[in-house]
Amino acid sequence: MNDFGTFVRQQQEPLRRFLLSLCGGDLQLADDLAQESFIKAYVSFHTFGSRSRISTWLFRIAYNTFIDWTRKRKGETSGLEEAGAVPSDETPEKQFGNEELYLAIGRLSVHEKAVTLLFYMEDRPIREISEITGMNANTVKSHLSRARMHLKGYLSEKGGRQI
Amino acid sequence: MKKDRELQELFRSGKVHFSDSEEFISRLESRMGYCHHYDILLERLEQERRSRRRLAVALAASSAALTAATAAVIFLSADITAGLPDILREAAEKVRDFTGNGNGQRTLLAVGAAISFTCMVLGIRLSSPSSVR
Repeated sequence: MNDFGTFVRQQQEPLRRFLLSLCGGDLQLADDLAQESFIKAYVSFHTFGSRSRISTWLFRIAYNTFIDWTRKRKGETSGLEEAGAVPSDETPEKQFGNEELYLAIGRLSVHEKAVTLLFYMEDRPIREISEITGMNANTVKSHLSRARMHLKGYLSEKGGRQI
Repeated sequence: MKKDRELQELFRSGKVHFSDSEEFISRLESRMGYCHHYDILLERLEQERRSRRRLAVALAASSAALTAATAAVIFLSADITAGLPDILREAAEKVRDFTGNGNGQRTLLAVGAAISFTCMVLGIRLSSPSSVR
C-alpha cells in the first residue's frame, strides 16, 4: 500500500485536473471519478503489466470511468455530449486561470476535449493519448486538429484573444 | 504532431493546482481501507469454501473406501467365485479361509475402521481454516 500511496501522491493532481476539465468544472463529480479510478487501480494494481507507463494506465482507467459515467447518465439526460456542456455558474469554473479557454473547451465533444487536454495540458505524446483513449493515432490527430479549429474559431469569435 | 505554441501556452497558464490534496488523499485512503477489509473478507470466504470442498472430498473418499471394503468382504466371503479364473478363485479361497475364522473378521473390520477413521481425521484437519493459511 505504501508504493501505491506514493503513486497516488504523484498522480492525484494531474488526474484530478484532467477529470475536472472533462467534467466541465464540476469539482465534486471530478473528485468522485478520480477516487473511483484510484480504487479501481488499487484493486487491479497486481495486474498492471509494464508494457506502458503506470500513469498512462491510470489515465486510461480514469478515462474509461468517465466514459462509463457518461453512458450511465445517458438514460437520465441527453448523453455523452452533455458532459461536455458549458458549466453553470455554480461550478468552480471561475477558479481556472483562464476562464475563457475553459468555456471554449466546454464546447468540444468529449473525445476532442480529452485528446486536447492530454496533448496540450498534460503534454502527453500521441502514442500515449492513443493508449489512454483507445483510439488509433490517426483518429487522435484528427480529433486534435478539429479541436484546434473549434478553439480558434470560438476564441476569435469572442474577439478576446488572437491565437 | 506539431503543437500550436500559443494554444499550449494558454493551456499551461490555465492549469489548476489543488490546495486540498491532503484531504483528497486521506478520503481515498479511508475508502481503500474499506476496500482492503473487503478483500480480506473475500479471501476468508474463499478459504472457507476451499475447506468445505476438501472436507466433502475427504468424506466421500472415506465413504467410498468403506463401501469398497465392505463389498470386498461380502464378495470374498460368499461362495460366488464360480466362473472366475483359477488364480482369482484361489485368492478368494485364501481370503475366505482367513475371514472364515473370528480373528480374521475382526482384523479386517479393525483395518477398515482404522482406514475410515484416518480419512475422517484427515478430512477434518484439511477443512480447518488454519491449515490453509
